[in-house]
Amino acid sequence: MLVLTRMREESLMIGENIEVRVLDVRGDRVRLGIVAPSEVAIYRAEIYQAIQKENMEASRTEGIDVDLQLLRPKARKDFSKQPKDLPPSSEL
Amino acid sequence: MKNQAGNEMTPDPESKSSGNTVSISTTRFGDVEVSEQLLIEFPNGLIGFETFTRYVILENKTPGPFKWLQCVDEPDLAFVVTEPEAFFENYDVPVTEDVLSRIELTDVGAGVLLALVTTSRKSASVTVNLQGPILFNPEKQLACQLALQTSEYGTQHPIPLEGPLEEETKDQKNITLEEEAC
Repeated sequence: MLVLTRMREESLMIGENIEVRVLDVRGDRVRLGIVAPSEVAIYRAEIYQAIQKENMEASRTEGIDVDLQLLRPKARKDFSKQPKDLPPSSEL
Repeated sequence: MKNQAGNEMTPDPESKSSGNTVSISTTRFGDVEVSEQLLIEFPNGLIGFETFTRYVILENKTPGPFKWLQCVDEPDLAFVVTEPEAFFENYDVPVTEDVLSRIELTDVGAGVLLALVTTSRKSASVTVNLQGPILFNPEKQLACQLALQTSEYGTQHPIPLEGPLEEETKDQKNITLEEEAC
């Protein structure tokens, strides 16, 4: 791990396009400002990790797990019709 | 064609539109032909699966709130998705300008929210990830997974079910699976 010391209002560059600036330091809280291209996604690490973990779990679903007859979900509205915003179903 | 659960997949006459079709190999549904226009691009992939950016939504014949998000380039990678608003009435998601520009969505109202579903056979539970929803722009076929910074929505919200999974029927499904494997 690269370790750098920065003062308030100082910043660092990650590559050419990403700037991380220390805006404020109070006790053990640090406020950071980040300037990055819009295609670069920025996450709080613990949220990224939580979603990553759940995505991994979700990817293990087999067909047998989701038998729509068995689950009988209590849907609020009737989704038996194609939602208008989704593309037409795929040709199989 | 049948998937592993024994459901016949739906051919939809509307999708016989002009244009090229792509053949997709899938572990769960066999080889699938879809119109190129139905491919969905995730410029950033899904969180943890960043290298896979092309997906397609597949229907089950049985109408219902669940669909499949199948990766185009990895046969084994597929997720169950649903529209979270079907179950969680007041589900609200803040969307940043960056996300909107990433999926070229000018009107937030035209976007479709989807959420990934996790099933556990052990606990017979079905949960939905409300903290990491997918925002889909149907006009451009672009989508992006969000990571909400909120304590209100977690990654495992139980979907309200009317009844538990029935053991007997599950056994029958297992038999079907074995037969198909032979």
